[in-house]
Amino acid sequence: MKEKPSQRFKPSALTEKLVPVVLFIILLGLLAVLAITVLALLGYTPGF
Amino acid sequence: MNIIPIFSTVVTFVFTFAVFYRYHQKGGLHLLLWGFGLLLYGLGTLSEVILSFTFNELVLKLWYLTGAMLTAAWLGQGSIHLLIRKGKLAISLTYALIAVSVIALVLVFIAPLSGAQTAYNVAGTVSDQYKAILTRNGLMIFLTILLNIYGTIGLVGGALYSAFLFWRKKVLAGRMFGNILIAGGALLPAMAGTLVKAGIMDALYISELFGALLMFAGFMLATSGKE
Repeated sequence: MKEKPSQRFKPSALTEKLVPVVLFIILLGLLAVLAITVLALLGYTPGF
Repeated sequence: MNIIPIFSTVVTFVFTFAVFYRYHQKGGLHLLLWGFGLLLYGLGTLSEVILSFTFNELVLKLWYLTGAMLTAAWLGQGSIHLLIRKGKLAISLTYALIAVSVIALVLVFIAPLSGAQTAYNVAGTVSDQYKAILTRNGLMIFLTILLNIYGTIGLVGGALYSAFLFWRKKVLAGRMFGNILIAGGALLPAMAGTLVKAGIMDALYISELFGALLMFAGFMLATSGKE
C-alpha cells in the first residue's frame, strides 16, 4: 500500500517572518473597512 | 469608456466557471455559494461595461443589486458554510440570506430614479454617479451596509482564519498561501466599495480587477493539490 505523503511543510526564513506580517496587515485592512463603515453610519464621512 | 471592467468581467466569469466546475467534480455547498457569489460579481462588472457605453435604468439597478448589495454576502456565505460544519447554523444563515436578497431585489427594482440620469456621463464611473441617480430609501442603505459587513467578515475573516490555522499547524502550504491571496483579494473591492459608499474616494474598478485576479490565483493555488 502506498504511504500518504506528509502534508506538513517547513517554511523558509523569509516565509517564517513574512506570513504573520501579511496576515496582520490584512486583518488591519478588515478592521479599517469596519471602522470606516461605522464612521459613515455616524455621519463622519461625506455619505453612505 | 472604461476598459478595466471588461478585463474584470472576463477574469470573473472564467473564475466562476472554474468554481462551478470544481463543484461539479467535488460537490460541496460552499463551492456552489462561491460560484453564485462570483456570478453576481461578474454581473456587477458586466453592468459597468454596459454603463460605460450607454445609460440604462435596469442595468444601473442590476449593478447596484449585484455589485453593491449581494456579491460580498454570497461569497462570504460560501466561506461560512466551509467553516461552520456542525449544526444547522450555516444553512439557517443561507435561508436568511435568500430572504434578505429577495427583499433587496424588490427594493432596488421599485426604487425611483431622481432624474439626474439625463446628465449621466458614460466616460465617468457608475460608482461616482449612482448616488445622484438612484433614490435609495433607508432600508436599502441599511441592507447594503448589513450585507457588506456580513460578507466581508465572512469572506476576508474566513480566509484569514483558515490561513492562520494552516500557518500555525505548518500544513498544506498551498492552501495557506491560497487563503492569504483570497483574503487580500477580497479585501481590495471591500475596501474600495466602502470608501466609495462613504464618499471618500473612488478606486472601485481597479480594485475589482485586482481583487478578482488575486482571489482566482488564491483559489487555483488552494485547490491545485500541490502541497
